[in-house]
Amino acid sequence: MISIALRYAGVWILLLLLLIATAGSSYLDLGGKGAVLHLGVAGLQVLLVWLLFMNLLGSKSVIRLCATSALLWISFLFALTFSDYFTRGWNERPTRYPEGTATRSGVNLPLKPSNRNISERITFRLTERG
Amino acid sequence: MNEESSVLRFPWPNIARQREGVAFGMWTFLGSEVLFFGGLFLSYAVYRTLYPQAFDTGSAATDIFYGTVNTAILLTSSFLMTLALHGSERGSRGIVATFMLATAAFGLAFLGVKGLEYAEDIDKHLVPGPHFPLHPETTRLFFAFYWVSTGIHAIHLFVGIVVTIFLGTQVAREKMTPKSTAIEAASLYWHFVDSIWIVLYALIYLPGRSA
Repeated sequence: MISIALRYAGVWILLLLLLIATAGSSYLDLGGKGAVLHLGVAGLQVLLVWLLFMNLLGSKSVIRLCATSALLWISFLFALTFSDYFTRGWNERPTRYPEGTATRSGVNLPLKPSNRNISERITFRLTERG
Repeated sequence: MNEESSVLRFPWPNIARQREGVAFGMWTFLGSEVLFFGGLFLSYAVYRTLYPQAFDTGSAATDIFYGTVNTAILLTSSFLMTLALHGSERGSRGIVATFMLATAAFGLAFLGVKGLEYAEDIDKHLVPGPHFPLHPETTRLFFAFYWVSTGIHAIHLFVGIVVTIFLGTQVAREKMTPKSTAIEAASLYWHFVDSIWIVLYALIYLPGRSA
């Protein structure tokens, strides 16, 4: 019991050291690498918890397969969604929403040229009526 | 009635198969939980990609002290839970009861710190609504994620605390054998809720502090 407890205490201290390191690094100006570092450390901590505390390392392959399949499906979820968001700029007319377009009443979607004319015409009529 | 037959349940032929069944069933459930939280993480990823500045501003307004203390509390509770599980494998009633209840106490401490943090956030009007102080307005998306994700996590943790206290007291009062496979199921759930918090900590508290 004691040797097992010491082994798990080692993992626990490693997890706490990683926590201190990642919290400290958030104050350093690392540019875009900061997010990669923070998520990398979080991924490492989750891996330690899953492999050692949840004993995936010592589990039968069917249980490891079950845990891994969840991550596989989530990778599909991210890949399919971002295959849309990252390729919007490939259209003739970019449809990405720039920062600050969301308003109090909701998100202002960019209008198609034909719709824009209609809305301008409506606005014109309304202002003309006074 | 010996110890093994009191743990064994229908339809398992022996205790080893039952333990595998418990772990497999629990991981299947946790897989569905991964996808449940995955939807939240996905919406965070999309909005942070679209509005990086707003997410940096929102994150810098959270209190990293409370977040870090709470992460340390949950990591410690997970360590205590592994000790409870090893007590269960050895069939030690005292170890299981003590460490299950200690784990639950750390869970309650987490909720207490979270309550202090929530009170401070509400005091600063960091709730998307009429008096929300931060600009640009897309910062509200960050705080919507903050409240929904930490709230759902707190509900998960609360369920874990109730289950852990129940099992701990059942073992202490000799109404359940310390070798029960329910201990392993509860421990898997507890560690999983801890691992969700580890990711939430990196998403909520760490961005936007260096500027």
